This record gives sequence, C-alpha cells and structure tokens, in this order.
Amino acid sequence: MSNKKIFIYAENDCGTIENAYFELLSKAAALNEKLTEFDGSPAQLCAVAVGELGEDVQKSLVESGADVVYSIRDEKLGVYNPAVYSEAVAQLCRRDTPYIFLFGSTAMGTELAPTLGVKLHTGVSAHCVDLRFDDSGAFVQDVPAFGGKVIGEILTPYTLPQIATVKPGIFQRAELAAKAAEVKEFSPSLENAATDGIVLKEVHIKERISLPVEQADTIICGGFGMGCDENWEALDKIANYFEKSAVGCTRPALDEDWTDDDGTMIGTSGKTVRPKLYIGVGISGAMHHVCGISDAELIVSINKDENADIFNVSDIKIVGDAVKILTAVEERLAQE
Amino acid sequence: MNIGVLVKPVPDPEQYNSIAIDPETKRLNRAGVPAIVNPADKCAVEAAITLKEKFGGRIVVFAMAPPDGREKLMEVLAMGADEAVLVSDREFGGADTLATSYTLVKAIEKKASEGDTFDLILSGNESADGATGHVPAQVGEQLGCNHLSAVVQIDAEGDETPESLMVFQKFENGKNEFEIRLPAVIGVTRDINKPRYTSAMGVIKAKKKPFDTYDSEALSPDKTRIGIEGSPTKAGAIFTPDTGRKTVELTGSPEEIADELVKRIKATGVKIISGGGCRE
Repeated sequence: MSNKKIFIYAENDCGTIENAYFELLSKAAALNEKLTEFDGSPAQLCAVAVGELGEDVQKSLVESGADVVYSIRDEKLGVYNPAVYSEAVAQLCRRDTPYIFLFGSTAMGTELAPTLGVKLHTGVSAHCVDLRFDDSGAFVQDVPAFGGKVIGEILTPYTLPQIATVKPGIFQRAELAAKAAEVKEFSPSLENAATDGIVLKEVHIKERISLPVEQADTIICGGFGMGCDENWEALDKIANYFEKSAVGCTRPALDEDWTDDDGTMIGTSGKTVRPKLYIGVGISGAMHHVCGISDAELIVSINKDENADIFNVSDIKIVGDAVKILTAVEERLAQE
Repeated sequence: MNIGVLVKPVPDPEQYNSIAIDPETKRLNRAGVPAIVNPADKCAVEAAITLKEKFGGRIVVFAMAPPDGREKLMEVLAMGADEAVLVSDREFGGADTLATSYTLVKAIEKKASEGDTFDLILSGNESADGATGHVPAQVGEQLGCNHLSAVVQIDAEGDETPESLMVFQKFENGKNEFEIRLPAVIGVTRDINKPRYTSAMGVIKAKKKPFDTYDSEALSPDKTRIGIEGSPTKAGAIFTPDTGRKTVELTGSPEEIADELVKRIKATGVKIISGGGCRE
C-alpha cells in the first residue's frame, strides 16, 4: 500500500455519523483508483473521528469501507469546541501528514477546515463540486464561483494536506465493501488548550414537521415571483400529491417572510438537492439558486417572464402566471 | 466596545448571470457588472452598529481591495461606521483566503497599535463571489483569538462591554448556542438582521470621517505570506458548467399545459398520489 493517506472527517452528530462522511468516502474510493495508476498502489482511506465514539458509531465507521479509523480521544473533547477540536486534529495531521483531507461543508466542517489551513499553513478549497486527479496526477478541486456561474480549478501544489470541503449531497454514497478497518486511537496533547474561550451552552434542535428538502424526491420551490404570502400555499397543495415531497424556497422568498423555514432554502448558501422532480415557480434563475438544483432529474420551471434565466437550465419551460398555472395543475392532479 | 468590520466589494450577485468566460482569452468577463458591498458584510456592519448603540465605542471598517474599493467603504461609513481602512497594494493581488486573512490581520494589528484595541471583529460569513466562508476563521486563528462562523444571532447583556457574548451558530439541525469570550472574530450570515438604509445625512457625514489607506510598505508584511506567492492554493482553469438540458416549452391554455405537464411527470416514473394527502 502507498504511504499516502486520505483523511475524511467523520462528523459525529449525537451518535450518528453525518452523511457527508459516507459520500466523501465513496468519492475518495473512486479517486483512489486513479491514484493507484500513478502510485502503483492505493492510498489509505482514513476516517478521522473526534471524541468518544460509542459502540454503534465505531462499528459504522469500521464497516464503512475505510482502511483505518482514527479515534481522537481526550477528556477535553467531550463537548464540541471548535478551538480544541481543530487543535487535536492538527496534531494528528502534523504526525501523519495526510495527502488529502476532506470535510463535509457542514457548520462544523466549514469551521474546522479553514482553521486547520492556518494551523498547518496549507490550502483549503471550499464547497467543491468535483474532485479529481488530472493527467499529471495533480489533485484538482473544482469550486463554484459567482454562485456557480463559473467553476474554477483549485490546486494546492506545494503544501500538505490538500484540504477540501464538499457540501452534503454533492457526491452520492456508494455501497463500499467493508474492510474491517483498524481502529487507531490518537491522544493529542491538550494540556495547554483553553476550553473556556468558546463554550457550547445549549443545542437548539429545530423540530422538523416536514421532510427536509435534501431528502425529498419531489420539490416544489417558490421564488420572488410568487408575489405574496397567500399565493405561497399553492406550492403546498401541489406537493401534497407527491410522496416524499417538500416545499423549497429561494433567498428572496425567504427575505419576504413567505416561509420562515430557512432550512428549505436551496442554493449556494442553502441546500444542494437532487430530487427526481423539481418544479420551480416564480424563480428568476439566479446562479446562487440554480447551482443547488443542477442534479435534479427533471426540472420544470414556471415563470411569467419568457426570458427568465431559469429556463436555460430547465427541461420543461412554462411561461405564464404562477397562480393560474398552479391552479390548473392542482385541478389536473386531483383527477388522478 | 471597539469593533472592526471586514467588508469586501463584490460584483453585484443579482447580475451573476451576465458574467461569462471569454471564449478567446478564457478569462472572466464581468464587464458592466457593478461592485456592491458584499450583502453579508452589510449585515456585519449593521450588527456592529447595534452593539455600538448599546455599549458605545468605535467601528472601524476594513476592506482589502483595489483603489476603487474606497467608494464601497464610503457606503458603510454612511451607514454608521466611524472610520475606514482600505488595504490596497498590487502586491496583495491574487491572494487566496490564507494570504488575504494574513494581510487583513496585519492591517487590524496596525490599526489597533495606533489606538484602541478591538474587542470584536465582525465579518460577513462569506462573500457572494468566492463564497468560501474561510476569512472569519482564518482571521481569528491568525489573530490568536476565539472565532466562530455562521452566526445568526448575537446577544449581549448589560451596559458595559461584557467579557463574553452569547452567540447562536446555525448548523444543519438547528442552532448551537455558544458563549464566546472577547476578543473574538465572528462571521455573521444574512439571517442575523436587515441592514439599515443609508440616509442623505449619513452620506454627508461619511466624507468627514477618518479614512486610511494601508499599502504593503505600511504593513511591512512577511512578503512570502501575501499575494500570489503567499497563497498555498493556485487557481487553474475556469469553465462554465454544462447544464446539459434540452428545454421543451409547453404552450396552450393553463388546462392544456397542466395536462401535458402531468403526462410528462408520469412518464419519468414519479408517482402521483390519488387524492393527495402526502403532506398532511
């Protein structure tokens, strides 16, 4: 086996490992095939988990398809503290010098990755939409710019690890053969780490009454063109006819307070979704939104402006008044 | 409470659809797209003004930008900031987030050494153009103080500058409530507030407020840590993502459109549930 290591941060959210870990591990396994062509042997895929794991979590990591599970443990790592967590992870990196380190672009990942970039004086690419090796063997990280209108290649040619964050939902989780990973404990030296600079006082879990957009098979999404609060209900009525459906929104609709669930916002600063069916209503097609739906299977757009940008990225274009079209669609669905 | 706010001029995000890659030069063509103050940074300025109204103190805004960034700093002075620093030099150009935050840290330290130190540095969590969200964490880490990103609420008690702030950080399943000890760097999202409009009086007052420009000589930075050379990441090619969709337009009366749409949805295998009721 090559002595290169690919680290993947395994975020432990109250006893379950975040999906991002499995998605990134799947991508890393695919990258490893290409890496093997250059190096003659694959890199080690390493899960990096901080804090007490518990039996179930450890088992899910051991069976995830990774080669090694690094379990970083210390009494100061009980409650999430970004300063202490990043120091602990940095110490493991200084010892092992991973070739690549992947993080999910979650709140935790987007805090730890750039902090680690400073501690290790290396490059970090953010919210990558693809990761690959080019023909010279360089690790290319594709990042969106201008809301996803443009994709730029980022390289970290001179320093290690090459750190990248990827939004949950960008890569798909593959079924990897379990390798019965070796669990290696790592005890960082945190005697001098202050734990009182940032103290997690309380976690306010948002009650989910509806299916999260990123898990929905059908998304009916409303934008500024919905016009007013009253019209917003029409989206819900359409969603009502589809299993595993959710109502999404754009930034302008959220700003208008037509919905108060900011967790349903789709796009650069919101969720990345890949539903089977996406129906966008009254959405102009700003890049910040569009880049969050590019992997939807069927994109239907309804807008009264026939030149709306959203039509350039849609499979089905409907020019017309949102309320009139939605009313007709609802009546038609009722006949099914 | 003395507060530094980091702002960045960005091309207006409303107009990103008109940004294109020149097929000849392979460079970005953003001609005609005006610069605005990054929307989340305006929220950071607003949050700073709110804290200043409670605790007093000064607000100094920093921008690392070409010389025309001055105009954008004047806008946030008009909003209510007290003082502005434009960090500008050709040597700073081409910096990635690590080199940018190093340069900003040098500017913050210089300003602090000339007068009152900062209790708090605020910044928009991410810029609309690059959107990495790295700068608050990387500035905080290099300043050697506590830092948090993705903050949607800041609570501060009492009449005097407190030792710590209660802040709410947005995460996937809700909000984390942290107590963060000052001095600290906090990245705020646009959820935190709605920035105030600038008044005509604000614009007039802004012209009389202190305005500094720091070039490379003024900051005397480690030259290996600024600009392109100081950036561990290098930019490769740029390209436009291929949407790969052939758009079909449905026309006719709303009823005809609805009928055709439902047929096409069913053809993809998506099931329609008779009588609805999926979201009740």
